[in-house]
Amino acid sequence: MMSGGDLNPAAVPLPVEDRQGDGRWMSQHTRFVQECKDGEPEVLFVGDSMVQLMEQYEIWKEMFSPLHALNFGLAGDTTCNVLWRLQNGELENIRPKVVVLWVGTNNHDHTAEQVAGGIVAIAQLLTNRLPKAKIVVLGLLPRGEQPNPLREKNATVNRLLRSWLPRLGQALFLDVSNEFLHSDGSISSQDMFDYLHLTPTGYNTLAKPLSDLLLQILEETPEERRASLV
Amino acid sequence: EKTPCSSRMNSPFSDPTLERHFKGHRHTVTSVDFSCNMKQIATGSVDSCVMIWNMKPQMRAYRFDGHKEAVTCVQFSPSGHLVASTSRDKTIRLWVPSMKADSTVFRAHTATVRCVNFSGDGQTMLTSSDDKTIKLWTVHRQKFLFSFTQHMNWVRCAKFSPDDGLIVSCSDDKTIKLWDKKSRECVHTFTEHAGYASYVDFHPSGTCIAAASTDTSVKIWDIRTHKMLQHYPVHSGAVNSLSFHPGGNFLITASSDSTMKILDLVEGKLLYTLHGHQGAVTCVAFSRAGDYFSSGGSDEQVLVWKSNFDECIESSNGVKSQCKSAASSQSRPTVSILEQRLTLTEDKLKECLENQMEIGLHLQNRDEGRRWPNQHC
Repeated sequence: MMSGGDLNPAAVPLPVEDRQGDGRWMSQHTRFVQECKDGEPEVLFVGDSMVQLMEQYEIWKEMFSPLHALNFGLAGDTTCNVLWRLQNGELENIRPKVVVLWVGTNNHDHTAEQVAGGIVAIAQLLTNRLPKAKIVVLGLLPRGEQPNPLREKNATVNRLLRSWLPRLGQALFLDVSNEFLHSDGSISSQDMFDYLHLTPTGYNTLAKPLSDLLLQILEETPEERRASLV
Repeated sequence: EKTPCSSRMNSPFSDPTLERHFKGHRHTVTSVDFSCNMKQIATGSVDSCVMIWNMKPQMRAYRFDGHKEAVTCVQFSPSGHLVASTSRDKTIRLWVPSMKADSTVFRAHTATVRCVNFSGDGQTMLTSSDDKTIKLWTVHRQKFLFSFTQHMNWVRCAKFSPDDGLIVSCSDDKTIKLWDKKSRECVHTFTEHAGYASYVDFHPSGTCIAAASTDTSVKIWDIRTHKMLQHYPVHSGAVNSLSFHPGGNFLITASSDSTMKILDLVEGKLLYTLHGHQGAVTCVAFSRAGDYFSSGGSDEQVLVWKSNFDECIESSNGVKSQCKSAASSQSRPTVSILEQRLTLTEDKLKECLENQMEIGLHLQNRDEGRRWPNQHC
């Protein structure tokens, strides 16, 4: 477990440099900050393209919109970028009951331990800012058509998360990786059109267990059940 | 010197004018209501306060603290003796609108309460909530009567019909429901497709309802036939609120596109667009007599306008002035744009299309005249 003393590069908040020159990353971040002013989300999704793309499919409208969800996924983000965004306005004024965190597959400069540490750091930040919220961390999905080193790295991150996250009382871990691997270890383009990003079919596989979990958390309000009416 | 209104004129009105401009809330204004005596206006805000404003310039406003979180809705009781407010803090407060600010608080729901509505006789009130229920209460002693529990998501708004026999509600579950108050049954469900309605109300006649939708449209449905009667795609942002003029011929709408629009329900067209708020207009209400209306916005302002629907203005050439600034000069300009110029253009277009059709028919008849002898009957 990363101790407070070591500086984990994956846990250092960093914005994305505008290398291409069109300012898109900052435009998206600014829009998310604005959405915090207008919205009353009960669920907040935050992460990279895996999160962002979900909003483009029917599944979002069917399963997550009705839960009053906000989507702050940003393609290409690493744990550093998500940390920076959350510290710079994307948690202002909102009090979601659940945060779904899905990030880490883009941390190419970091080891599996560092990536897991970065994800835990984000979960810790969320718990500090939203003490009553549950944090659902999604496991990194396998990538590439056939077994490859990145698959092993992501699997290691998941293994570490599984053992580290329970120390944060409010964090839950949901990993559907196995659903995407065929018996021969290959991934189908029916599930991941580019062997990284999910198709609508791929999202359906993820959405059902995730939605069930969210509904369970949202309906789980023992304190409210006891409230008297008059 | 006023010439009498010609019956041919479409809109023999002078433009609405801004009368008062109330500052005091420290966050978005969420709700506004006039008392029946028209002297007071109640507003609620995300700043968690209820404010009571007086139309007389010398009278000061009251600020009522009490709610722990954003106030979502305020309403005067029919007699004007009470103001009910609902809040994200899950409670309802009943205030006496005086300097003493006495209030009773009761916890009505297990989540944010969105809306409160008194029945016409002032004896009962409806509340709707994010806990997906609508509840009916007695006003005296706030006794819980019963729940309407068919919605599957936040219930944004619930209103009594003018005769108190029906209730209309709208929810994030994309439905608008009609309920029979006596039998407590849901008698009809209207389904939205694009967005959802965030505000609904009955027409003063009780025969139809209007819904303000997040998909930017305003729709009117007949509650007897369940058919959609009118559809106004006039706004460019979510429509947050609406109010029927007590006469039943006009509807005013408030939108996130920062404008309000006055719709002529008889002609089925847009009459005015009002600019005055900077940012979303969140709430709007006609006074009980309809001679004024008030609006609130995310700019923290409360504006009071004179409707001026009864006055006719003369004009030399029969065409109305295009726009008129607020009569009382305020620090901010407001503009009412009369939509009649657009109507005149539309009429001309209509004439052209009719001519075109006539020409077409004429040609067709001429051709058929040549063919007739050869046609089989």
